[in-house]
Amino acid sequence: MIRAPPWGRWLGWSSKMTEVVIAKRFCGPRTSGNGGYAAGLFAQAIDGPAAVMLKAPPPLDSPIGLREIDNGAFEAVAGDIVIAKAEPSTVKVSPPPIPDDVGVAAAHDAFLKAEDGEHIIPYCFVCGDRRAPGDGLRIFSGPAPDSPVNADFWTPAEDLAGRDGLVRPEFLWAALDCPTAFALRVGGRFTLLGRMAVEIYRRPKSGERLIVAAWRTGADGRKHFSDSVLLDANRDVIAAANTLWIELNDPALIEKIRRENA
Amino acid sequence: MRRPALGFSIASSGSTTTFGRGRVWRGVTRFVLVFSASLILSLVADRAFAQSAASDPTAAASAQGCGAVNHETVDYVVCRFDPAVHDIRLFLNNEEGEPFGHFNWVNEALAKDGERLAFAMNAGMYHEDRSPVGFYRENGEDVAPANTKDGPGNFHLKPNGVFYVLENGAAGVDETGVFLMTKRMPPRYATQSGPMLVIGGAIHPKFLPESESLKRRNGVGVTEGGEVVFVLADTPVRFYDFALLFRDELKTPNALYLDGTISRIYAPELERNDPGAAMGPMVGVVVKND
Repeated sequence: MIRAPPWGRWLGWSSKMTEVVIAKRFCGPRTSGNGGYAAGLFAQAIDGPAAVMLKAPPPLDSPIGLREIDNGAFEAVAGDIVIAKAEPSTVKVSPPPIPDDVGVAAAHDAFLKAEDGEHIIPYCFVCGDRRAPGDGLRIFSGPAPDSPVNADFWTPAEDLAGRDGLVRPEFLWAALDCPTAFALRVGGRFTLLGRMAVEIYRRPKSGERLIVAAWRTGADGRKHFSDSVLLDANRDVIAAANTLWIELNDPALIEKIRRENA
Repeated sequence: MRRPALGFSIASSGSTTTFGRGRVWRGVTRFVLVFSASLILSLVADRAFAQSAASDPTAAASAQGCGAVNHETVDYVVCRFDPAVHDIRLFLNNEEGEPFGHFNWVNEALAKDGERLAFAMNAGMYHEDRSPVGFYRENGEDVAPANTKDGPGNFHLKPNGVFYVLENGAAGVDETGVFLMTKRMPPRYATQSGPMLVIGGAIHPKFLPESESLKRRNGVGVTEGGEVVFVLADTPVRFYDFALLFRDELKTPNALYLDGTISRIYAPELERNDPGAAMGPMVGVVVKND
């Protein structure tokens, strides 16, 4: 939800200051918002393709202010902590061959075989396998056979649509997010979303049968890069994303995350 | 043949699922490069995040058809049918002898006879070519023999068992040994799977209450009254807890595990037609088209 806080001007905020709240349902790890969903909310301050750099875990059920800084960019702030920066951007993807439906179905099963009961973030709104159908998106994007692409089917539910009947942008960002992490195929190494740029060409209606596909594009030390697309029934790209993931290298920290999300 | 109550639904999964107590985010992170250790340290555990049980699986099973329920933090779909009035069948191969693989292809075949699926799920382990691992009988003809060998995997976690539907419409689940020794009219449909979940009111002796093996699972049980209860766990569950659901909540003295991880369901009233790779045996409830 985006709204202008009535108390904002008493704090010296500009008229461009708005506010969003990430409901608990939309968590990634248990205590913070799903990165893609949060980025999608923040990006609504931008008209057109946008990039969001995440700097701190987006809090749940707390007001997050969006304040304009410069060059059409916005900062998302919770208290005095800068959560993210959103700015106009461009998105370029060069998708490898996307598997046919049989390949996507096999990718779905491959995810379940690999992650069933072993998911490190099992309550994630997008990819958590402990979220019930209708509650979580349950996008289980495993590796397609003999392909660099991770993919799954996704049919957005009615409650994900706005008043215009079209799926709200933040859910498209969310759907494009997690598959890019699994597409890195870095085994047990743990990564967190650092930056995500998304361009939406067409917002689908709820009930449309979509495919989410993602693939790795490169790495630079602990930085990993991957892209993703949403395809409609005609296999036309309706949204695309470029992402940057940061690999954590502290085993104790990773174990802590595992415990907290078990 | 009476149509099942397709409109039945306890609640959608979304509406039955709620999350635990509220918490205040403890973001104390300082500015760091992209994602730093302090960022992660601020992810504080909330062990009360478990989903609350907002519906009663017994109630879900008290009406015909499928309903989504949450029990002991696990999300299930429970589907209950009276085999005397519901046409329960097994499906493996199409007219060309090729595996159907998907619910949609079963529906397409049924449509030629003016029929359709009202419910379906995967029904027993299968080899890579989708042929059954154990005994499989369809429409009165044996397709695969009983498998009493020892081996690895869940199928061989003995005792395993057989789910069957007789010519007179009665259905049952029996241990494989009991099934093979019992003199009864030949089943119209039968599929062998394993392990048994509940055996004469007892939990399978090899199930561990503290097991760390949590998987999506599906199974079938038959009540004392003869009703068939199919269950799919949408969220990972251990064998022991899955068996407890059948024994204590659904009151099925015998219940059989059908498969796990790749478990999937077709339930139009819940808008479910789960994706995934081609399956082997499937069980379905068939109704006439309107």
